Amino acid sequence: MRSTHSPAGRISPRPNTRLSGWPMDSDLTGARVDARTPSSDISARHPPVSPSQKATRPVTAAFGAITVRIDTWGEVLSSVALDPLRHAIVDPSTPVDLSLLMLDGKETGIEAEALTSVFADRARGADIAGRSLTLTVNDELQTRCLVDAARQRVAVWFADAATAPEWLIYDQIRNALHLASHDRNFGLFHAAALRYAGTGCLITGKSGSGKSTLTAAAVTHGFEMAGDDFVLIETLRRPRVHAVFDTIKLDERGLAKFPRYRPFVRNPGRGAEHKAIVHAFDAAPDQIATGFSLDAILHARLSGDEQSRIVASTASAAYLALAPSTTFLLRTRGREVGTKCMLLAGCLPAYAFEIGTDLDAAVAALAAFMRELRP
Amino acid sequence: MYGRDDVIVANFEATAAETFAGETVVIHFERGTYFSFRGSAVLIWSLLQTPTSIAAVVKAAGDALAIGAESFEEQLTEFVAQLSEQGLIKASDAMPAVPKLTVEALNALSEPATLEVFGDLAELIAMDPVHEIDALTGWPHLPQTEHEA
Repeated sequence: MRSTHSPAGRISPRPNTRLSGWPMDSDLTGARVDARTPSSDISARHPPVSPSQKATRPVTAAFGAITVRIDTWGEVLSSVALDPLRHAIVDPSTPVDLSLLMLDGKETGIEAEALTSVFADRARGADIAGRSLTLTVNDELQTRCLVDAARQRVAVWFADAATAPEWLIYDQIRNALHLASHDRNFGLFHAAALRYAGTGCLITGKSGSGKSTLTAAAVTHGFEMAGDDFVLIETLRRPRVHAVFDTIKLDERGLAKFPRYRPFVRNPGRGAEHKAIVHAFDAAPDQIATGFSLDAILHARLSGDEQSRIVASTASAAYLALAPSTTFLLRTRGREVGTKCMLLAGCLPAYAFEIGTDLDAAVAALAAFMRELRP
Repeated sequence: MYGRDDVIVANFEATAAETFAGETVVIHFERGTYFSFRGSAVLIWSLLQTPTSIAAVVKAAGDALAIGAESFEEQLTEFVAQLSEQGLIKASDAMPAVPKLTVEALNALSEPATLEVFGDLAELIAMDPVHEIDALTGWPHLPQTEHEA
């Protein structure tokens, strides 16, 4: 276990701090970290954001049918976790369905035992108000996640959020929303969602099928987006999609193709193998749509041809493009996820979107298709 | 590998399946693989929702199959071996059910059983370093089932 870290200029809780009465609205025993204190030890991986860009914590965020209170302890976490959610932030007095507490061990000095000891007490038979807790340990990425499913509360500890990959932090929010979706008529889906000319389309396809690049291109051509990777969808008779993260992910070729995004890249110190992350809230604030109805589901693949085409397809093909990756990425309750994917694939007309090498032409083909499909 | 009289059933715990017109899609959560069943594979998968055996299905089909009982058994045995290899079926202690087959079902069983395997997402499972800890002994001990495994 690493040693306790106490950044200068801030109040530091005791080592091995216990979460007294956890999860009581994120109130830790000992002391709170003063979020107003300038950070002096944030690594170059996640550079600090300017105060005007920063969401105030804790925040309440609404994603259609689900409202979540998110509290982050640590400047890095506040930036990485909350900035992609600025479009969804609502009045803090809004009743919440789920509470998520995220702790940066390095910045706060709180060690992993703060969570694991709560779980150990339960394992030893201590009465923790009859709560059913689950602890998930990730040794490789140095996280601990304590879930009180009955009370819909989640606490996540990161050893060092400054060196954690962005996706790991986003995953915690995604997992919390997945927990909240149990037995409810909404779920998370591995897909991009775009609206144009009053028509909403879900774009499915495995990683590398062109969802993110297509979304980035579409936004530059006036489309609205509700996500380029994971979205929340209410499985209604006419399904409705809600933006969770406002991120647009681009590789170097994408950045060269769409230079308007470059000033907004949030991870300039990323390695060559990682994509640049841009927040639509910064780069295209008018084009992040908090929610819209869906009219079709398109399963995308890169065709290698110059031109793109969109042709009628089948529900099973749409399901094949949507369900496996959604199921595996969400990791739990696969049967329920599969059923929700089936409901979605079964109630929307399906099309195959063969994306060509000319990206502008691909977006033009999609625009023409969506205009024609207008409800 | 299962023999003619072994009782087998779909591996419900590890899979989820959905059927569309003419196609069943099965996802194996643990292996990260997924499958498209077509032709008679759709019906055979549905028969495996209750414990049965190759012998029981062949008996139910009788001599009514266009391809003949012997060819059908050969095809069924080969398909069951594929399902076993992919972890989609498991042994059962139950008595084997002899399914009742309609004329349409008998016609469907005469078609080839097609199983398309998709392994492109398996790496998502293989790279997963997340695991839950044992509820009794606490962190950092793994759950009992993993100890036993």
